[in-house]
Amino acid sequence: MLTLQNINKVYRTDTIETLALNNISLSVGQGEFLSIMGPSGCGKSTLLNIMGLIDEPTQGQIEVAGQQIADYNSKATARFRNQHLGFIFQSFHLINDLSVLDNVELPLLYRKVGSAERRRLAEEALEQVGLKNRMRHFPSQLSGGQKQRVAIARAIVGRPDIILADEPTGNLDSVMGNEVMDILLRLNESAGTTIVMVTHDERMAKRTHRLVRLFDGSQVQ
Amino acid sequence: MLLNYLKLALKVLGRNKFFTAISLFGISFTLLILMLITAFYDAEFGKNAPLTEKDRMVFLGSLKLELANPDTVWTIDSTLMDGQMAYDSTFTIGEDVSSTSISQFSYDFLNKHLGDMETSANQTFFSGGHDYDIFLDNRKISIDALYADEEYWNLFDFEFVAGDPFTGGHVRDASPVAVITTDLAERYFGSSEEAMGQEIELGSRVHKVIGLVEKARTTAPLVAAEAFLPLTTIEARMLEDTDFHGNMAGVFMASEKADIPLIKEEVSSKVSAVVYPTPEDYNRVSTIPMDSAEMFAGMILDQNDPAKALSIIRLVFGILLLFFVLLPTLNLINMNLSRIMEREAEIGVRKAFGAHSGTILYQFVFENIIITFIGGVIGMLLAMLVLYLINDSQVLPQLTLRFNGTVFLYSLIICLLFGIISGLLPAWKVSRLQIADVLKSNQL
Repeated sequence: MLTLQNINKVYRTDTIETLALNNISLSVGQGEFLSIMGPSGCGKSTLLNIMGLIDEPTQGQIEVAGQQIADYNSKATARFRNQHLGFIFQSFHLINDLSVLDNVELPLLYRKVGSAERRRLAEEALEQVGLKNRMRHFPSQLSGGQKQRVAIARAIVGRPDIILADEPTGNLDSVMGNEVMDILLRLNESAGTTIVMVTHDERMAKRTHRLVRLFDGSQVQ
Repeated sequence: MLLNYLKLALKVLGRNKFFTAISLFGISFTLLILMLITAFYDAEFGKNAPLTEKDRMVFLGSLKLELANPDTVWTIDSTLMDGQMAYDSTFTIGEDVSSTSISQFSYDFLNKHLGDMETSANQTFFSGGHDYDIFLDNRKISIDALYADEEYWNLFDFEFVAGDPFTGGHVRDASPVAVITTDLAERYFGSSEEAMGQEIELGSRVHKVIGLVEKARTTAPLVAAEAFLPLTTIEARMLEDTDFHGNMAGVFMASEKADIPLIKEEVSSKVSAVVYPTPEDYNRVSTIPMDSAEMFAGMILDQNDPAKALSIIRLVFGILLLFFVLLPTLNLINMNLSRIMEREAEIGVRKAFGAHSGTILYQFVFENIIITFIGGVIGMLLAMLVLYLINDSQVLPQLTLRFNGTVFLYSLIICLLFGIISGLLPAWKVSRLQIADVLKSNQL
């Protein structure tokens, strides 16, 4: 489903060159739930961003859903992200000025989907995360756990092949964190959605199929 | 999608009320000024009755008489050559105009020399600017009268409220009839309904009102009168005087706009061919035929060179308009930039979920147009109020400014352009943002 080959990522300033990822090669199979762990600053989020085509590697090749990605800034890549990828962020990144329903509909705005169909799919996604009764609410009226569940609904509404979750439980207490993890596992098991998750939490990582560890930009496990 | 953008635009406006108030004030005030300029421009330069056909007209305002003599200027240079004084002389033949007289035309001149034009489809000769003070019931009523031939009504399409224009018969028989404006009817008779068939005293004559027209909403003296009388009821000497100068003007109507240069050329050539009876007084006769834009420019600036006056007016208006639009636009661009930059993370999320740079650009320009239109509606309401106050207070007594369809259309275009221009640069800037960077450094 997702293959990375010899990925390097170097951040350059005028005086310093920092190697964020060092020759990472990785494959994620269809329906797999992979977690990435490592200390802060080891390159986990950078790797996830590269997998999600929202950051560009300095070197290396990436293939997602059978397609080789070359130009990260093109319109075609934006369409590819929209069709095949879903994102969950640690700090939710919901748009506060939009209702829960409008937030969930967001990925569908960039597809040719009619408003009635968009609404039906968004309601269905919210039902899957148990928040259909809150669809008229605004993000500021929700708890952290509820916000992350809305973010999950937004990630799955377009039925993507892969969900990329960057520390989805990082800002939540253990109860809410477990709730969110349960939803992700259910999605993976029932719908066969491929999930790649960055986490700091060993307990969460253990619940996934496979764990990749990074240290100073290199894969150590 | 547009509904989503609209919702968001309104939400963003409500989020920071102080910022929104400043922004809307700037937009609405700028648009108010632009709309007032548009209303003024439309009233003065627009194709409104009775000047609907002004684009096909050539206007004759003044006749110039000059006494020009050849003037030879000798220049003598002196120098030393081989210790001897040497002289080198050159001369240039120029012209010395020792006497100039500029005034309107006499009826006799117009009739005799320009009465049989080949290139114009129609023509009218008239005499405006006759002021009469009437004392009625201890009130002084000042009336601006204009004497015209019957063709005047075919060239200028006045809106008749009641009655009809005077005819060739009225002009031939010097019938004491009058067409007056509803404004004058109200001042003179108390109401315009009672004016028809009544008598109005103008100068030493009493005229019967046979027609009522709406007052022309322009300062152009050729139509801005309040009472219109048959040309032949003017003082007899004005029609009989054989001097070249008088107080008449003429307008020629072309079959189509393209004929205007031909009419101008024919007028100029016919006038310049006329010989003044006493060449020792004046030996050159000329006139400057003007199209409508040149005539208005000539009224404001220089009667002698209307084409140059028009260029100057266009330049000054252009610069003023540029400043009126450019300064608030730059200010708005700056404000929009800071407003949009607050939403970097949202842009990151939208791009992550499939929006490309073009979509982001479109969204923010659309949002800006919405905001501009809200400001435009406020500006429009303010403009209507200010126009009402200007008309009501008679600050510009000759002019009636209106917020009509043309002004509304121009206002819409102004709003749209203002919205696009002030939103485009900030939107373009944020649309180029890198997703990973903005998501890393921003919280929503």
